[in-house]
Amino acid sequence: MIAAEAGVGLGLRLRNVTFDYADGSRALDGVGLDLESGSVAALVGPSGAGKTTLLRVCAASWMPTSGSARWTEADGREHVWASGSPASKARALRSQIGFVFQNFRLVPQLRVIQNVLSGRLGSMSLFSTIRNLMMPSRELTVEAFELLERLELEEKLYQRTDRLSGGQQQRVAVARALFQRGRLLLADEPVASLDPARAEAVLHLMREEAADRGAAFLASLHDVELARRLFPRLIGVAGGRIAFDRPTSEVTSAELRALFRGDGVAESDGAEEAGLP
Amino acid sequence: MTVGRRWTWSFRARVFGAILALGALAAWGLMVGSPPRWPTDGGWALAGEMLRAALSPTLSPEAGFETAGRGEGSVLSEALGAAQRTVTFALAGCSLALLWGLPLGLMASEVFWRLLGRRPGTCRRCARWLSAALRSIHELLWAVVLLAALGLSNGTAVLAMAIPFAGIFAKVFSELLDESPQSATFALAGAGAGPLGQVCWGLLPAALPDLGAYAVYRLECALRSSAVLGFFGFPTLGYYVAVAFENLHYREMWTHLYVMFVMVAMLEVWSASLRRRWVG
Repeated sequence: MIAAEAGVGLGLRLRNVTFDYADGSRALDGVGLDLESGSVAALVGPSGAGKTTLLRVCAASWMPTSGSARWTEADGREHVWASGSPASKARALRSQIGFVFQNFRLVPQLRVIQNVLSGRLGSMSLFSTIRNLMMPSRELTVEAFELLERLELEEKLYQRTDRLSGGQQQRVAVARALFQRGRLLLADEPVASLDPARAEAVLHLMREEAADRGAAFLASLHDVELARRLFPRLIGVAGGRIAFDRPTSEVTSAELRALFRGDGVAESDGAEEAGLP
Repeated sequence: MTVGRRWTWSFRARVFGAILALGALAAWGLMVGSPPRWPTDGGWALAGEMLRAALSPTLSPEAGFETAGRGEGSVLSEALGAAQRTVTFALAGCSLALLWGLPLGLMASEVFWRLLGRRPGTCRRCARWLSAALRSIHELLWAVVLLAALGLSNGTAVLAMAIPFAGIFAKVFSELLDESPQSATFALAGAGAGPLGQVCWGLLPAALPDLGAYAVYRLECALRSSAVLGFFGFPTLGYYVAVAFENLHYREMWTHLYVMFVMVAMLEVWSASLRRRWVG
């Protein structure tokens, strides 16, 4: 329903974003990206293209070296982050952004339910922060259980997280990000450790959950076929630039081949300008 | 590496060399002060008597004027009672030290201040200085000071252990916290968790196995300290060892020492199983 209200301009906008690592190497180079509330897109591109960096900048975890990122909420509030933005100011914004890390980043010693619940720490009071760690409230437990049920992990609710297989841990990481109920769901290779059937089911679930709340969903995937099948919009990234950003039906196989061969960058300048709304 | 460069000793090699040289010098200085002597015949006899007593520890008091009122088998009950008090003192001292040491360790760590979004500055330095001051004085010296101030009470022994142990906990905990994996904690920060959430849900759970294993090891140290505090008159195993030794009751002394040994060995077995479970 929120998606229906969401007008143009709501959501995430990146303008001319560059990102340099501490050693001076450039990971992103003049990236522009619009991700409206409720929209769904997949990032594809060869490894080292800058997909992870782009996602981290979108998540306000890393600040752009130049250019800016802007997040507009449904109530008109705006968050802008650019070079030198203090990370501490971004807390309210971050609680709106769910992130699935490529290497999960779960707390291995905690139980599954605690890792899932930790997704919502950003909106917990000091008291419930302590209380839910020791003894999760009934409502949160039920909610976590139902979410895990959809990920076929409900019987692991009270299991210690480091006792789980890689694929199970990946689904816990997805559950944590979904439990956060953010307005923006970012995922870095969220199904890399899952078998094909389960990968598809998990991506479907993430899309549904995002759509239910009118949240935008952006995921990087190394499996281009999966991205083509499940995502209505593909964003090709190569050499730190956006090579193309179009509805999936308009992306040709030749374009994709060029992207992974590494010569997608040459045509990217024009494509980027044209691709943006 | 530049070919043809002149060979030089590395900094590390020079430091080790200097330490060895100083050690040799110290040993030489001590020997000049009091040359080592071969034990006298009396010394050999005494040592032999003590070692023989090790083979025949006794459960009943040895004969002597001070044995009046001590019944058959009372040595074992004395030793077990003393062992129980030794454990009680150690547990109380260690718990009290943990209570101060953990917050102090958090404040002395770098990661804690980074999670608060501040530079680790004056507060961290103060916490480090405080922990250094607490642990620079050994528990036996604290016991001397506190005995003078508070007299011979249970609290004196517990405090004497708790003060330096808190300093040691703070130092070791701060290092363990700084070395613990923090990527999950920063993931929580990425999801908007505040400092308390990051510390309680990320930092502490990730470091807890190491902190716990170290605390259990420290309990073993506390057990030994608690026993030795008996030399000052606290009713722990050390007291009975000292009394038996002064009365030349070596067989009684060995009974107490064996009880001490069994106690530490039991704790070691238990703590090893805990460490395996926690640290893996």
